Amino acid sequence: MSPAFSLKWKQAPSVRASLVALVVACILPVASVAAVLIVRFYRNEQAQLISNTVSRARTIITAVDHDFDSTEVALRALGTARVLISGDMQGFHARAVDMLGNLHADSILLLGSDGKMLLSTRLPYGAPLAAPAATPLLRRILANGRPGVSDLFNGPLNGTLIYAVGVPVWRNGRIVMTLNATATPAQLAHVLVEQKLPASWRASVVDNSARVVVRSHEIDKYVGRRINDDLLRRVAAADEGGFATRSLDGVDVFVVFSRSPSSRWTALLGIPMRELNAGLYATMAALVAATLAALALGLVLAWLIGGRITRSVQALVAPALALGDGAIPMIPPLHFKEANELGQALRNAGAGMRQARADTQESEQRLVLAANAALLGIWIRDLKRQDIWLSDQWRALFGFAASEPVALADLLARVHADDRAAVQRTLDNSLLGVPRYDMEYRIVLPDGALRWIGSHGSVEVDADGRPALVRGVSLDITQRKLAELDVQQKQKEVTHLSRLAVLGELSGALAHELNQPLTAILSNAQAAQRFLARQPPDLAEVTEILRDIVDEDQRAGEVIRRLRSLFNKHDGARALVDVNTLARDVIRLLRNDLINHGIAVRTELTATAAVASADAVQLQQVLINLIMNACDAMAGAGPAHAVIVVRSAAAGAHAVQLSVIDSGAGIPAADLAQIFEPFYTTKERGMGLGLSICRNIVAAHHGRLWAENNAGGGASVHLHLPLAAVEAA
Amino acid sequence: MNAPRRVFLVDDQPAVLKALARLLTAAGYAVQAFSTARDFLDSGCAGAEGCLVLDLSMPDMDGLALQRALAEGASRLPVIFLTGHGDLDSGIRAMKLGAADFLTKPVDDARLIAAVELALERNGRLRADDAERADIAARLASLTPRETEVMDLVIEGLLNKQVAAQLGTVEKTVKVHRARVMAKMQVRSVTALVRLVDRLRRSA
Repeated sequence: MSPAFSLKWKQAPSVRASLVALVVACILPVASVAAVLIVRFYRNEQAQLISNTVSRARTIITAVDHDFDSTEVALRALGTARVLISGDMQGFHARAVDMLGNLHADSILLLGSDGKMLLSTRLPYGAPLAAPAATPLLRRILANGRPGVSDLFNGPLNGTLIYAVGVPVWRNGRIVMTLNATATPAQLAHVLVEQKLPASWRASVVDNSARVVVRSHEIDKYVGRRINDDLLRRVAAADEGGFATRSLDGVDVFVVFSRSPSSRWTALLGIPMRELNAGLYATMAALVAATLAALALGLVLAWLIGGRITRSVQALVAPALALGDGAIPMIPPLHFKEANELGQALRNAGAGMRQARADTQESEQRLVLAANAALLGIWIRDLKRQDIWLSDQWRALFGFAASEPVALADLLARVHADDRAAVQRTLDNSLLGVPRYDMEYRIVLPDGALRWIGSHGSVEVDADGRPALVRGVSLDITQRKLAELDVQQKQKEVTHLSRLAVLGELSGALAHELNQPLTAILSNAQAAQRFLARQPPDLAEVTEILRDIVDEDQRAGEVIRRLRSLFNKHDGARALVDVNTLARDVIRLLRNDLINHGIAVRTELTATAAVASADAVQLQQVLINLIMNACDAMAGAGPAHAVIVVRSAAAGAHAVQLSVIDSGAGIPAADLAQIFEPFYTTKERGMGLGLSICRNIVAAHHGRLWAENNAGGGASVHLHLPLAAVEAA
Repeated sequence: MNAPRRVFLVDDQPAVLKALARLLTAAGYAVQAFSTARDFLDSGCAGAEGCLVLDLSMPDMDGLALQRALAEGASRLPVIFLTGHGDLDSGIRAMKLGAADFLTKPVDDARLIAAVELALERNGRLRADDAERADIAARLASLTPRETEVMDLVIEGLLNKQVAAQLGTVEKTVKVHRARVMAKMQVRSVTALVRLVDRLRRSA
């Protein structure tokens, strides 16, 4: 495992953490949106409630005003009573007492404009009345001539808190007295009761000086008490409104108020905050609870599932490691189908790997067996660690002991001095990235013996393409090498022998050819003698004869020169040779042999400008060989069939093909390829070297030599030879 | 002096042909040279008087083939072979086929001329022989069928009476036929007649 990979592995989140993140990511946004929606909903609800509450406060204060109005109307009616105008105070008292029963009031007072109490229904008519006092209500009525409502004040008779509704009583355009109805706060309590407010709500009505007149709760305790300053200030700011505050009895409430435009009394409704927000809080709590529950459930599931996945995956770690060690892993039952499939795949892979390993081992064993059997020495050179591993066979091959440490220098020291530079060069090349090499070199064993080694190596590269490892085999090729040298020597000898044999044949042929001019010369000379012996000598004839003799002699000399050229030892001397001329020369050379075999030669030398760069003598040898073989092939054929065709034809633009075509028995198909092998012969006394040497000669001329059977019987041997121009190019 | 005797030369090598022709001409022969065996056969000289000097190895039709052809054509031309090889096999074969001589090239004029002389002599003898036989055959041919029958029986050694009995005729008639046979065959005795006929028939 590479460091980069393990680093990544450590940074990667666990399955559990991922699942937890997934759960949280799914649930929290939904919960947040729900919370926002819920809050918004409740805000609307509250606004609606407050708006409703304001109208209820207005209803309350309207009821209060209505109370005042009805009292005021009754008082105004009483003020115009005849008994009052006539001054019948006793009658008026009775009248007032009478009216009191129809009013929410506990007494009716008649006050003079100077504040002197003229009459009170609390006292029987004629009872002494209290001293005059200028009340604020009186002063206000006197000032503006309009009815009014007083704030709470302590009643003059018994000191209880009361309030009064007063109307002026006019006489002749002048306010002469005021008629007042006093009432206790309890007599106003009905306005709250009639509203049927929720029990938890705080409702109160305060007078113009912000003193509590009636209250839904603990009226006795709070009546007459001024509301706190904060409340007062905020209520004074507007005629209607709402705000959060604390009630007199210490309850956090949302206060809604409405002030009467006429009496300036104010109705206050306090909704306990707890109640106002209770729904919101409950819903929010439910939401939070649901969210938490969902989170908890999700997290638990994530934890459990994550754990199972983790365990499933971890359970496969050991099998995977076992796989690496070559075992077929046992897969425990896993929680997931996919994990089971992976496990099965691991098992299959394990089985496959075991098989592959077994195969590899088998083939390695085979290889070692084969290497040992073939006496192959195996070596591996690690270029990075500068380390060499050598098989025992190799050590035996190079004469090192089994445990002896061997460095490259030791190896080089074994190599024959003449080959050391080449070996060193090959080793250097493998470092430079030459992918494979084959070399043959000599080593000198410790006992001084010489051994030929054949070495084949291949270079393996690392991921960056740099040579990392050189692997190879070495084997003892001494026997083969000696055999090769021997064969080379023998081949030289055989070539020489063959040359001598060919020369033997050639000299025979040449002797025949020489015979013709010699015959002509002798006969001419003797004829000349005879002409000379005549009387008179026929000198003209003799002159002609002598000219012919000279011609024939020259021809003989030509033959001898040709013979000498055959014996010349020059080797591989290339000259431009016209293939057609060569063919004609050879046919002339073999003329007598051919005639003796009763074989006719037909030439079809159609190639033009067929000039090759060649050793003429060697090519002559080849052609002589081919033609003589053709003769042998047709031995026994009737004279009508015994025809050899020697044909030359252009083979493409750059080569010429020379063919020797016979009409003999042909070559058995199985032997077609073999006939060019050394020592293959069909002749009783042949050595079987002719065609083999021919092929070598042709190969040396970059040509090809092959045989085939003709469709109409007989065989053809073809000689394919590149033309001089091509070879030069 | 007689007309020069004829020697026919066949050799595919022009230089050799020319030199030999020259030599034989110088030696006093009437030489006729041919460069191929076929030319010679076509020339119609096969039946001529003289002898043939023949190169053994030639393309197409070689010496032996020509010799064979001549023998089949009942030519009397003696053949002297010339060969470049000392090829013993060919020589023996040629001699068996009746070659007059077998000489190797280069050939000494004395040997060649001696061989030619012998051959010509043999040719003369053969030709004389042939002529004689032809004469006898002509005489035989002049006999009537009856005369031939009578002659055959006479040669067998039968008496006239026996001959007449065999032929279903009378002795007198046989006598007449017999006298005519003797006259036509130009013999005086039966013995001479027997020798004559025997010679012809034996050689045939």
